Amino acid sequence: MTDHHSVRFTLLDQQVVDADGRRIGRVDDLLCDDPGPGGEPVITHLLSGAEALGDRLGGLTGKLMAAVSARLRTTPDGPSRIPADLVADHADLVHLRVRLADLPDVAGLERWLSAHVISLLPGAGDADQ
Amino acid sequence: MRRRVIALVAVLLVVASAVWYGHAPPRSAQAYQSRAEETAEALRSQARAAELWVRAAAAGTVTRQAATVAIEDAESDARATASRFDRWDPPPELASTRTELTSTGAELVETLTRLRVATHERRWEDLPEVAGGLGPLADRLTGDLTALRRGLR
Amino acid sequence: MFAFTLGTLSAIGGFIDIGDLVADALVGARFGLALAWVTVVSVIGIACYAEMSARITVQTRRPAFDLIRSRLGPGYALVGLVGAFAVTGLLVMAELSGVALALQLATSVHYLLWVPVVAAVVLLLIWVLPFETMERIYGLLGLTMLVFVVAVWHLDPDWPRLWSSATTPVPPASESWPAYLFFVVTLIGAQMTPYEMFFFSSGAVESRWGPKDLTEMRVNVLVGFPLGGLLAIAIQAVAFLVFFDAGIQVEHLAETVLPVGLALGKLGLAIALLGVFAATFGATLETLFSTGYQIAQYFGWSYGKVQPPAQAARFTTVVVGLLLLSTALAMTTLDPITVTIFAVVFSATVLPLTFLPVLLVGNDRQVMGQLANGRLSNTLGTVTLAISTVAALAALPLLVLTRGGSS
Repeated sequence: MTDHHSVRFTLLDQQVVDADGRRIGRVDDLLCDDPGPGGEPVITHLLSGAEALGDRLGGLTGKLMAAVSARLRTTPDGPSRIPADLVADHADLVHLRVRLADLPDVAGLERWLSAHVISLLPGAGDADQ
Repeated sequence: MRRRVIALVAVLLVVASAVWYGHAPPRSAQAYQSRAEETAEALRSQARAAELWVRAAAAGTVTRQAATVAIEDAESDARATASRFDRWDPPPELASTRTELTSTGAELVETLTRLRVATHERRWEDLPEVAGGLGPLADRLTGDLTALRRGLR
Repeated sequence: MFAFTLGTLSAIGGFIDIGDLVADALVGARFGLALAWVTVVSVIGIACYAEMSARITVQTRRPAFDLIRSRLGPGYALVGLVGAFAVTGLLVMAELSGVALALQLATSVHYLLWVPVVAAVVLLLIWVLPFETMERIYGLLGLTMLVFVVAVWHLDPDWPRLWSSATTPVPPASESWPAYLFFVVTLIGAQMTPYEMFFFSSGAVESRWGPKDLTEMRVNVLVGFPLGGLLAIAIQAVAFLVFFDAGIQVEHLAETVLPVGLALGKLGLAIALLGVFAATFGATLETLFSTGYQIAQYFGWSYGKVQPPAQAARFTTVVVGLLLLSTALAMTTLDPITVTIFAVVFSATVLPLTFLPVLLVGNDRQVMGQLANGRLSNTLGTVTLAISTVAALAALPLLVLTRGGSS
């Protein structure tokens, strides 16, 4: 992704939706590759989740948010990442090429709650339609 | 970091003093008088409200369930108002005001209790008679209010 | 055509909630109609912002709050979120208690016994019913509140006196200026409710409104909100007519509905109680969902009823969690009327924080294109913002100075 527009408006804080149009989360932070002197930084991953947001916001609130989210995390290390090459387009919403089911590390809380709490109740529907 | 701590402490102090201001007992004669006025107004309001409900229940314009709830509310309000007033110490020149208001408050609570018991025992015919005492009590409170307002002005 | 009218009717019934029921009656009993102008101003203000936030949705197919984070950043949106969450959270508890109080008045069974029952029914309904059905039922039932308007007539009022009271915006002889101003702020908080704005726009998403629905939306706003304001003034008027001269203060929901009983008998009282029940039940659902929407939209979660709950697990958990928390709070025997007054005063305090971002997004041409704010929207929006800022700044000092309106 070599965009020359400000990522502040075209990428950061935008809504991420999967291939089915289902909302997954927001682009809470970006992970860039440092190409060394003379080159342009390339975005390698989108970071999503309250932990990434908390780290980015900083301050007392941010640290609190990140700490709470880290406790609720289901993946072993760091905030959820979405590889940048999975982004189909980001004109308005950030559309991904894949479905949420294909991103096991993302939206862990959603999956967990859906499987362990919500789906147990009658009429809750199916988590993966 | 230090600036944030100072700001937080300042906010807490402001909140604490606001709460104190709201709940502190009156300290001056002026403050006591205005609290006494508020108490008299509140008690009179509770008396008249109960009277209105009893009349409405007798006339059949309100349901008995609603009237029962309203009378219970009036009784517990009057009790709370009277006991809150009781707790405050009067300045010497207003001691007689306190005695007068306290005794009227006690009578009002007594009447409202009898009303409440009557509604719970479904003695609806008795209500108007018991409520008859409310009118004079309300008038007495009006008299107290007038005296208070004339007093320290 | 049918859907048109249905939407407008829902907006009328949806305007009144426990804040209005308590504040309007209280104000009418103490000040007569001297604060009716506040209702007029509030209706114009909230109608302006509801139209703006719905227009944002119509253009972008996303709710207004969703765009606040995208266009104004997460830090700013978080402040708005925390403020609105705190206030609306308190309101959920107050509305829930309001439903229980209405049931108590109808049956004389204590309201605390009703609270868990109502919570359980709410839980069932949000799980089972489609969004639009919920909204429509409670909006329509809430129309029974019109009985208050009928009651004004039946109380055979001295119309010149009503008029003179309404056109004299000063405290009556028995009241002080600080108390008057405190209740100006209280009414603003009770009637310019942010959750209505966000609910309206999130509802537009759930109903999949697009540019062709713009006119319908505007009619809903321009007809619904003013009629809702008329209901509010009617509540003030009947309280004035029955309580003012006797010096009776309104401290309970029972007193809000008593004038209707006196005017129209048991049937009138029953209809008024049905209206109160519907208004507070509907408001419970609205405040619950509004809070859930805001949190979900901030973090980018899936939300709403367009998909089954299992696919919006975080949103569902938050909404249910909030309901349980509010039920617990209501069961602590905190006086619901006092909580209501505090909730609306704090609502007034955060009002500018919720209006400003909507005004900014509404003016954002990149997002809004042709439908960006015109001069009317901007003028009304800015004036409303200014008024709400003054009210917000004055709210807490007045609350302390008047000791919650007692003096």
